[in-house]
Amino acid sequence: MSGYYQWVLLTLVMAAFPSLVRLPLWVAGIALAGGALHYAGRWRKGWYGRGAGAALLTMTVAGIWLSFESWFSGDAVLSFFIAVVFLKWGEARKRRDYLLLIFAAVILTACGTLYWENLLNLLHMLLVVFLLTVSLVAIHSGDSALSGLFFLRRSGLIFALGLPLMLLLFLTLPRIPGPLWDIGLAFGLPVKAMLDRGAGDFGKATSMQPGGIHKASQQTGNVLVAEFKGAVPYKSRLYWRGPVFWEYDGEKWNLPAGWDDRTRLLKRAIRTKKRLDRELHFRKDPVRYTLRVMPNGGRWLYGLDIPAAPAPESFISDEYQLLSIRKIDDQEPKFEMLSYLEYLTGVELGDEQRKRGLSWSENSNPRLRALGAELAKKHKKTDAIVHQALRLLADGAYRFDAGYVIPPGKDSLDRFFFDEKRGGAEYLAGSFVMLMRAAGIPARLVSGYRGGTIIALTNFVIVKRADAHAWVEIWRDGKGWSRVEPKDIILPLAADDTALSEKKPKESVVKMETGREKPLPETEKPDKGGKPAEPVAVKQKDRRSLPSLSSLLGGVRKWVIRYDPNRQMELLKGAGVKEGNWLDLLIGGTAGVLSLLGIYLLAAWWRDRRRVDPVAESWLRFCRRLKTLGVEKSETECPRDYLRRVSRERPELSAAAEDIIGRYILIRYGEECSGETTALFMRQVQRFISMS
Amino acid sequence: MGLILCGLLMAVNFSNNLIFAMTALLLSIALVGWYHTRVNLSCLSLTDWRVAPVFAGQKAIWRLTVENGKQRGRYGIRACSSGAETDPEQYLAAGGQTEITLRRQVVARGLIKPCPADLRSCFPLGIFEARLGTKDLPECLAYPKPAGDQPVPEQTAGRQAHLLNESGAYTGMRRYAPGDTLSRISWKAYARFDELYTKEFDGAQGRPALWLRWSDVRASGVEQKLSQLCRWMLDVHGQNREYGLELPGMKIEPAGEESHLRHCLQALALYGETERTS
Repeated sequence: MSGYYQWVLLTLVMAAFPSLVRLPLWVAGIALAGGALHYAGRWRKGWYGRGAGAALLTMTVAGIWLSFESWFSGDAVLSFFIAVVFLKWGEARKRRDYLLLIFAAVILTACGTLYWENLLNLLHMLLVVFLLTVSLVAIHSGDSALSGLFFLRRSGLIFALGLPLMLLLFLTLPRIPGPLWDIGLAFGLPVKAMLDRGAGDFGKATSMQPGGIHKASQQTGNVLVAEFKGAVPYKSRLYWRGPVFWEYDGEKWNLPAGWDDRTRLLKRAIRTKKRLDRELHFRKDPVRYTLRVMPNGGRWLYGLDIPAAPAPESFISDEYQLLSIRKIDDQEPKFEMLSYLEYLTGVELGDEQRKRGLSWSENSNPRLRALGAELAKKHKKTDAIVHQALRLLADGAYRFDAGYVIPPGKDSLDRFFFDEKRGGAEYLAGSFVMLMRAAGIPARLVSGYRGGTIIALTNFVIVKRADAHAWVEIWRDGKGWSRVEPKDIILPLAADDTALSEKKPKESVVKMETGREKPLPETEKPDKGGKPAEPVAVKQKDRRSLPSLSSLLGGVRKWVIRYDPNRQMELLKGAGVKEGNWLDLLIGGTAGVLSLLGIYLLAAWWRDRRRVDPVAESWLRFCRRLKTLGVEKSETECPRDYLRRVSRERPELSAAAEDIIGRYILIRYGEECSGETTALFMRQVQRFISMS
Repeated sequence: MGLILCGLLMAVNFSNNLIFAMTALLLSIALVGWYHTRVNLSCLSLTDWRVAPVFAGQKAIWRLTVENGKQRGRYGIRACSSGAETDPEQYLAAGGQTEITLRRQVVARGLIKPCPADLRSCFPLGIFEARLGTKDLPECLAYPKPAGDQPVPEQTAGRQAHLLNESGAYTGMRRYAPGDTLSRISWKAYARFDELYTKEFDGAQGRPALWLRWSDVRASGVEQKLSQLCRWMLDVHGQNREYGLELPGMKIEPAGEESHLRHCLQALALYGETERTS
């Protein structure tokens, strides 16, 4: 047994350190006890302390019972894992045990990184992996006489050589936005396997309350999966059309009673191509895709705005929603669909429709109404009114804040628009609809989803409940309904088209929820809170000054901690790749790794190549020169005989040859191999070659 | 490898860049380690395996000299062969050489067949294992296990043995040749002439030679008989007496040298093998 177990211990403790600090103290106690067992076993040969180990395990179970609410909360599982690992260390004797402990250390490190993502954690991770390398080298070098310094040196070498490779891999490994089950969804896994039934009835809602969208966005359920034919459009242009609201009662938006009546819906639906062509009189940017919709308890198929093709078992309603004839309770409709991203719909607005589009619940939101009337007075044209309203939004220092709920009550839209100036999509779109109505423009609120998550650079897009959104449609005479998006006015799209920040609640198979919510560090603030924490990346190639430490740290943060698929694409574009897909990435990454390894191999070969003895080299050159002069040295001839032959055959060379060969014999056989003599010999050979 | 895959899955699942980074780092370290593992066993010069005959019940030991001609140390080298115990891993310094051994417990007498062997090393990370093929382990003779308590039958062969190696009267000196026993070296002559000389003697008169016969053994069963014969042979050889061996279908004339002992033991070890193989 060599001293490798100390290295393993160091690795293990370092790996568990962040978790131990976070968890209750008794976990650290159990860990210490495990260590004590280990050393006791060393002092008293062969004592395994099984009884003590069992007692400690029971204590662990008791501790978990006392300190956590549930058996399977993240911390409980982690505590149990740590306790078991350290108790295992208590009875580790063989090399295999230690290897197992090392693997456990890796898992522990990974768990540690789940809680915070900052530079400290990065350093911690690097340190643990380095120690792990040292441990592995120590375990496998098999000679106890080797010193710790050697292990450190050798692992340092491996680690240093590994770092550039790691960077390459890190930058080029195709990023797959998690969670994993999304990918399964995209490739046809049944949704039922991963959807708990409770979430499957969000399609039954008939009203939209303030803050409802934010509530929906806290949920991680999936709504639909779309596979696009060809490239995926910009995510900001994907509007998945859901319920259309006309009626506002001063508190919330409602669907009309009995809207769900099938016969009525079918009667009004757009059934013929002729009618569709007539109603959809302007269309651009067709997109073809295959849609798979999760069961939602309603009829919603959430066609991409604006759906324009028939599909089995479904129809397009007069409000251009894609609806299923039967309610989607547990089956998963899947069909091909065609949509137009740019459109104008509707030919004429009936009186009843116009009335609905201008309806206003009495005695509510007077200020909005007044503002609308004022706008209508100032400007005659619809477009001008809309433009003015949007100007108001842009100049009004509004803040988009999905989680912000204005205290319910009377005139909440007024309060939003004039006082609070912050809120989510339903306030923004809702108040805009009312403003338009006040100005005499028929408007309605459309809810649904916007954007989605592109899976791993494929053409699959997953729309989650977190993407819930609401927007505005206004009617312009002669043109029809068109979409207005007030959110983009307030919160301009980020350069990399990530309008939707994806701060997912960290959930996993074992429900790794942080029991006590830690406030996130500043860097983790989702983009929704106004400006992102860092400025948009500007290539500063022409700056020659040394980067300051803080900008360096910012760079690390940007490229390591907040690296995501979009940034990856950005990087590719910077490298001159126009259209990146994940296959290119994989091929590029592999090629890069192979070329780096090739460089390493070359360097190793260069260092390791046989150094040719300079004396032998000079001697060979001398012999070659004599060969051209007509005296060839045979393989078996010793230098002295050769000298005799040279003197016999070419007497004019004999003096020089005698000098050189004499020196050679002295160096080679007379132990006269100091630096001076060899240098002199080489110089003489040089002279001979140049003179003869 | 499984660990790396696991890390990758975790990274994807949590969209966690740090786990991604860790996975990438582990993967790259594994790649670099692969090269180190390969280099650790490349360019070693090996001799052939050597082995000495053993008695059944002992361990046969194969030895192999490994020489490291490169300017870097080699670590964690062990030999591997099916059915053989491996020694702890060896360290080989730059330019040094070491002896690597394989042991195998021998159960029955006879000829142990040659079998393939190789050198292996998991250094530095244990993720990959480099292998360097060596020549096959040569066959090894296993003599019968000496056993039995029958006294040696006094079946003299009728002539006295002459023991060359016993010290009788001093006859002369000759140049030392490798293989001469140290006890016969004339150290005085070495001190005087700075060269090694070996003293020679005329040998001694020993006791009459014996016949060890298959038919005299009273043990039951072939193996027991062979074991008894083996025991007698070793005893008699230890007493510096000459002896001959008589087995069914073969007869070895009496003699007393080391080579004769080996010859006889081989006859015992291979008794019945020829019929079995033919």
